[in-house]
Amino acid sequence: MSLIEPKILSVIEVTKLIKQEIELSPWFKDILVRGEISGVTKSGAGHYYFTLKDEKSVLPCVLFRRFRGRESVSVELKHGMKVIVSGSLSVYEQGGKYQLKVEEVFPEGLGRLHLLAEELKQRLRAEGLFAEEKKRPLPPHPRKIGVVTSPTGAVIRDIVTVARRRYPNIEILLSPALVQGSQAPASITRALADLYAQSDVDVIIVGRGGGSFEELNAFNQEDVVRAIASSPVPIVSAVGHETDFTLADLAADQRAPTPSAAAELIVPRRDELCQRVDILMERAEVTIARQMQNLRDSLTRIRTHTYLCNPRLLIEGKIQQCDELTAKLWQHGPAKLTKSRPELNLSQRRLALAVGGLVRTARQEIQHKNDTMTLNITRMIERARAAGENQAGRLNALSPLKTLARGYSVCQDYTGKVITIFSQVEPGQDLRVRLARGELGVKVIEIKGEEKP
Amino acid sequence: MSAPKNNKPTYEEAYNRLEEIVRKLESGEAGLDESLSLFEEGIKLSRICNERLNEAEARIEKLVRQADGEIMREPFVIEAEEDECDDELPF
Repeated sequence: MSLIEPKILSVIEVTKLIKQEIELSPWFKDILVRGEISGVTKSGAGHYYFTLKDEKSVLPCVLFRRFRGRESVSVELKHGMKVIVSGSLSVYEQGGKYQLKVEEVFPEGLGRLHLLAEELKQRLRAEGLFAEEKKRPLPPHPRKIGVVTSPTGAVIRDIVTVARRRYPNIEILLSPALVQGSQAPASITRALADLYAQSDVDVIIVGRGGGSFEELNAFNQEDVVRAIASSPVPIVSAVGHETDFTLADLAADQRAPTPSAAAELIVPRRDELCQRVDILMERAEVTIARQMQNLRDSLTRIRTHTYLCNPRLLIEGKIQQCDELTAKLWQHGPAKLTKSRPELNLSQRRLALAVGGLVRTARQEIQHKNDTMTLNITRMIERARAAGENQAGRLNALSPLKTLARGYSVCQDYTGKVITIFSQVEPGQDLRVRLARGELGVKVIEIKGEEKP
Repeated sequence: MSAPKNNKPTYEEAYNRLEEIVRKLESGEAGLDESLSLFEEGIKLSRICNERLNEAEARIEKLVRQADGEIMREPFVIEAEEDECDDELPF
């Protein structure tokens, strides 16, 4: 029995201590390990578990899915594959084992060049040269395509063939470059600069055919990568084959797996562009035709409308309405009138019409009476005239001339005084005797007469 | 770099405007007069599009650096068939 109580650790406490030691140590962070892949399994979640081994030991490794998308990790992990992996050591607590969290996998044998490229990639990435937000979209309708590649070989020919098939009158401007060998980086950089100085180039393809990592090395050189990243127009890299990745691909706006694919990405199909325009115009024509037809239809509808064909119907309705309103007007009196100005206006008009009618009737009556009166007066006058004539006849009958005509005569003195009494004359006086026709001058010879009592 | 040398619209500009016109026609917002003038503009735009698609000259050129450092353009002729055979059969 010891006096000092021994410190007893739990299993997890031991594991955590080890985890701390390992994960905080700079020795196990971002290390490169060479070995052979063994026992690869892929979890349902998409993570890879394998063991890296050499003749003397084994190292458990995990490659999480999130690193799988990286270009350098696109190689398929296979049993027996000799690789160099990069990553950091970690401890898996539940399993009580340490493992390498792998971030990059490089096939063995690439050696120094590959590691240099790897180092450059980290540096340029940190600088933001490959940033996604720097990527520009390709022009939808490029007129002139610049190409930086070898003037000999399949690349330029493939690009021209594909481009012309898609767009027969496409313009291509080649800026020739050596794409392999020690002169290649300077040559590519200069060819790019020459093309950048041309003002009519809309988009650029930079590329070469497939080859080994060493053959593609020019496209992993810092000058070339920076030159590509500085392109004034969108630039597409087409280096090697589908599986070849270079830093040029990361610096370009877009990566094409092959030069032919680059041409297909960049060059639109001219017939498709023509067709797009035709389709739009077809839609426009159909729409216009339909609109015109609709208008024509509604015009026909209007033309054949009952009211237009028989406008009297329209008025009849209004007349009836008007009558009804007038009737209401008389029924409900002025109180209702104020309620509806239009009704009032209508009624006023109706009223004016009615008053006009009354006036006209009265005027006609006056005229009629006037006429009657005139007629009566005329008749009266005529009657009076007729009566007058009758009396004149009678007067005529009383006339002394008529008496004379019956044989009587009138005796007058020469002053014109009618002699009616014997005492009016003296013997020997000259008198005038008026006959029915003519006069006699006579002398009084004898006077006979008796004095009336 | 693709700046047009004059004020004529590019294919894309003409096409985009044409698309806008067709959308407007199809929306039924425009009256007959406006529709007809839009349609007329559409016809002009489609002509511009076709002009743009036909105006390139199918030229293939290459840049050549002169002795004095000046850069010239020369017609570029693709190599004969035997080069292709060399490329594709490297052994």
